[in-house]
Amino acid sequence: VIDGDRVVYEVHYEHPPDTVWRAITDSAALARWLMPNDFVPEVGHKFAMDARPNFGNVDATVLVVEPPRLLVCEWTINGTSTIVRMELQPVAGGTRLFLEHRGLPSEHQAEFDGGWDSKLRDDLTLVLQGDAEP
Amino acid sequence: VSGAGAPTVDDAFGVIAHPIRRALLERLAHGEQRVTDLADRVPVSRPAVSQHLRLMLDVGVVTERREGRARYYALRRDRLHDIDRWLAQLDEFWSESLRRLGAHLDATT
Repeated sequence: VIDGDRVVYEVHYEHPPDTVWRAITDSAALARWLMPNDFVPEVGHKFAMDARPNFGNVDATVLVVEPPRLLVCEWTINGTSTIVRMELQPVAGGTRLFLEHRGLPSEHQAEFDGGWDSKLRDDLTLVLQGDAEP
Repeated sequence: VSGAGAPTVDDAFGVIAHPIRRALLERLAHGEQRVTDLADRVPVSRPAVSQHLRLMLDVGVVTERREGRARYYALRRDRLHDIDRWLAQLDEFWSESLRRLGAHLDATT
């Protein structure tokens, strides 16, 4: 689901968090549902994924590992730095996975006062949707 | 404030990676603008604004029109649609992958 400058998903799996955690942090498991990779769940680990035909090769870095709850990685896709965040929450009957993939770089925002940020984001979203006043 | 930025910018993603360029896009979303009007709206010098506009022109997200001594810039919305398409592709990618994750979990337990 596209939400502004990011893609977000909330998915329920009928398996405990430990099982889901293994599936999102084990290289062989990842290869089965995501992409071929040389992932290791260690902060700072650099890995590559074969995302053809969607995105070509993805160079990535592990940023946060908090088993069995939070995994954050940076994926560089076609030279664009993006952040993939997966959070697991135990719920009745299984696990809820929150996925967030921030697609657009937002560095340098500290140059502005806080108010500008949301304004720019909102207005940019309008621009991107083509709904802004002509 | 640095100019157009060190990394080579050759697509819409690079254009929106800088807050000044986002601010310029925001202004241009309201219609064609003169450089002087654009420069009044962002907290950087006019040469810096010109440099950002030059870059945006090179990438193709804006057009330039000269009238006498004034230069007018306008948005080319279609060139920003790359970003929409890219997000849509990511969306589809995750939707498919998360479905496969479910199948993988079911198959291994």
